[in-house]
Amino acid sequence: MSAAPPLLPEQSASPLAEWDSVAVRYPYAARDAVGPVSHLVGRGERVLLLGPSGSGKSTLLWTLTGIVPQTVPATVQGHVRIGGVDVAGRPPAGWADAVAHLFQDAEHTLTGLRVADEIAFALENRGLQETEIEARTRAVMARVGLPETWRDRRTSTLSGGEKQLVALAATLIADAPLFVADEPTASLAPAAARRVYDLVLNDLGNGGVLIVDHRLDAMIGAIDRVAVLDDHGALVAEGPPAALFRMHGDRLDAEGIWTPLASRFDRALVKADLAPARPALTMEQLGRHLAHLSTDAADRARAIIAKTAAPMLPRRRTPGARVVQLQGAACAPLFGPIVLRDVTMEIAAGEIVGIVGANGAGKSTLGASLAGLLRLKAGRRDGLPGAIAFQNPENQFLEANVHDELAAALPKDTAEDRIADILGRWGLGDVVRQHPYELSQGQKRRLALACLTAADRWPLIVLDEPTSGLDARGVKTIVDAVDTLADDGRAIAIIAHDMDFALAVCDRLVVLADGGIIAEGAPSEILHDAALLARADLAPPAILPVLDWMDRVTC
Amino acid sequence: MLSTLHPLPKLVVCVLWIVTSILIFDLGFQLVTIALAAGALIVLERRSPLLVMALMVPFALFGFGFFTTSVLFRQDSTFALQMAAETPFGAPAFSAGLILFCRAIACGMVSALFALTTDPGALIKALMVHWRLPPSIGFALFQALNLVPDLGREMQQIRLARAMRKGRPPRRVPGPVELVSLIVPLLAYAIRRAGRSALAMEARGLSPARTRTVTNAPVPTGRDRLFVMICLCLLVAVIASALRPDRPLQEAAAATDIAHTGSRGPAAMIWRTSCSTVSMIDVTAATARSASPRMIPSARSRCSGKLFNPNALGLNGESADFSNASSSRASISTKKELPDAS
Repeated sequence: MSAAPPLLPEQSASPLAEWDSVAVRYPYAARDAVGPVSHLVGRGERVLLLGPSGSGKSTLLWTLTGIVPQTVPATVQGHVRIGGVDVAGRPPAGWADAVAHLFQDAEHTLTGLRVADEIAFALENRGLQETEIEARTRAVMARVGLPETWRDRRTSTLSGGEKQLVALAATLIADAPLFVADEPTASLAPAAARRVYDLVLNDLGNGGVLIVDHRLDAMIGAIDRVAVLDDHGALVAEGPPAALFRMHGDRLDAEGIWTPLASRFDRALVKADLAPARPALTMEQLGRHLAHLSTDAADRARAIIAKTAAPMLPRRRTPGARVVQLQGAACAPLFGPIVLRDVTMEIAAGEIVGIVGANGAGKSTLGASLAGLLRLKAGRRDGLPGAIAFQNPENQFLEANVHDELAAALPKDTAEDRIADILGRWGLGDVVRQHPYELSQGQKRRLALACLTAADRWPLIVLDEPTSGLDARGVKTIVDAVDTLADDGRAIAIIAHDMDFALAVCDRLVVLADGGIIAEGAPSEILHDAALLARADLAPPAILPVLDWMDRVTC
Repeated sequence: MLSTLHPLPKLVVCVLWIVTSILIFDLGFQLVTIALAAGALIVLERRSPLLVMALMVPFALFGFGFFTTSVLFRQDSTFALQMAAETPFGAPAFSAGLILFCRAIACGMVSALFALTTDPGALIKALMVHWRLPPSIGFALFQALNLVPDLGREMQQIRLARAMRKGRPPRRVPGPVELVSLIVPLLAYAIRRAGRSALAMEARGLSPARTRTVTNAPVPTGRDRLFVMICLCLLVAVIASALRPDRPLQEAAAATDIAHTGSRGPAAMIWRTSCSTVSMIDVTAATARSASPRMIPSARSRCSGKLFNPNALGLNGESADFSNASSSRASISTKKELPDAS
């Protein structure tokens, strides 16, 4: 057993984490994956790391404990230090007491068969007494809100969101001075995502948090500092969030990086000289400012906000003929039990229907049943077969490179003529000879959609969480593609956790809970029903307070 | 009830019983083993009899292979056939096949009993705590166990994606061509996942250089000791019953059969299994017994470890020549046959 020196003394003047001119290049890569980056995470500080997809955010986090380059081969220039100590001096496991790392995909964090084993894992590795491990396991389960009845559940029986919560508990139990989280809420329903932010960002003490995420509105108010990487992984902006987003927000928008919704309105108001003196970062701050505007200023502000919000609101469409209908359907996954009963719904040509609900509510099963890929246990489905863009786009790829993947989706006689056009339209021209698994998450989603839409074959397309883990540019590409498909007369069903996205693109929402459909209607009606949202473990979209204010000003 | 026992004593008992089942080539022993395993599942574990019957199916199919091989591809010997006619099962090939068939089911049912009454996580923890299984291997096993259902889900997703391209729902059970085509993507998924899991475990402090605690590991109790004692007593009783001296003809016929032909008849099985090693004198004795059923008690006493002298049998010249002539062949053929039988 190695005798490790004490980690991160409480009163040390050294920052918790420090990257000093760090650049990382993977073997055979033509350019650096990330860097040069010089950055600190101080004690008691909550830092948000932003950047477009593929900018090297995860790689940067992996350098923190030496996973890169000690476990994942790469060339690392510069120095990474934890508590003033160079990380190269220990194996990655040696830093586990100082840094708790919540990975992007919870399934890759799970190691044990039961929930209690999973949570206790980090403390077992420290060799603590069993009684202490047991007490701390119970405490962290209560803190995260995991029921005691889950203790003996096998992690393989949990839904994606439940696994995410278990992984969070397993990381929090380490009680490490620095908590690092890579998109911790990507698979979570809105209400669960808010709970996660509360847990991670509150009661920080002398520790620090470094978080990578795209869903900013629910947590930006608790962030102390933001660091931004550009397309090439270089650090381009850093500072307190309010000032940073007001000064650099437009540039970030242009680069396809997420900015908080309130800051987008704030910047629009700055241009009309109507902005608050202190930049608005949250919708609450913006709402307070708007409430105190004079009548004349409010009218001007309303016009500006309406113009800014226009791309975030759905366009009115006229649905065409019915494409698919489920009547009294009992839906079940392959070889699984029935998860939805007595489902009756339909989708028309040119209509975009959002399917929303808590983790494990049966959204993906309903999507596959709508597409006709799952046989119904009861009831009937009328309509032609549909297609699904799976949550994990990798499941869709069967060929050796991007070109062949598209060629397989097209009729053989016209394939070669159309491929170049499709590649250009979906921004995949640079990766035509790469294996689909080598693409970034955003590129994978675009390729999956490009394949589905290329053939003009399916009248119904189901998109399973199409925006999960995407940057702003990626989401805009998806929104534009969905609009185009609907305009072409396709029926679209979107399984969504992001209520702002659902509000922006959907003509109608179907809410799942308690083993069936509990509500169906226009997004503006559904998302205003607080009781319904609470029952379905959903949260209202961030833009809703502004829309309500606009209604009040009009009245 | 069995589910609450410590996995390791249960493992030892089950392995011991399976080894004995392989060594004791006796129909009665195999049937008792099947009955005990099935009875324990139905009575003690409250498992559905239908489930238990269904569990037997794959092992029965496996055993049926032994059975048909024994019946269809066996060389006959006149003497063996003559003696076999006196056995309860008629033809010796049928008899041997039946025992092989039941042995496959018996071994399978004991395995199923262990698998159905043991939490794999508890077993791995017990191995790490009591048998010093390195944590790196233990957690690799944990991952492998986790991977099985995940691979299943992944496979269904891939099947749905392919079905979508074909424009029809996937078949309920994938065909052989589809199964083969799933191997590469599933292997790729397993490799990627294994790499990511290794990273995650390392990031959470799993290291061979650190001493780690294992929580909730099973602790042996008096019930486990009682279980082992009962099982061992039961095993000894069943063995004794299988080897009782009032069922000589079948064994003698079989032993003579191998002495004559060197074929894979029941005799080789019996003698290889009743005594842990087979020597020239064993088969000579068996041959002598076959020639003179009166001598069987003596032959059996040799098998139990007592000295046996073939000259003391008082065989006539023809029989003695026969036994001497066959003994050398038998010893060679027995050595050749051993790996097959085991």
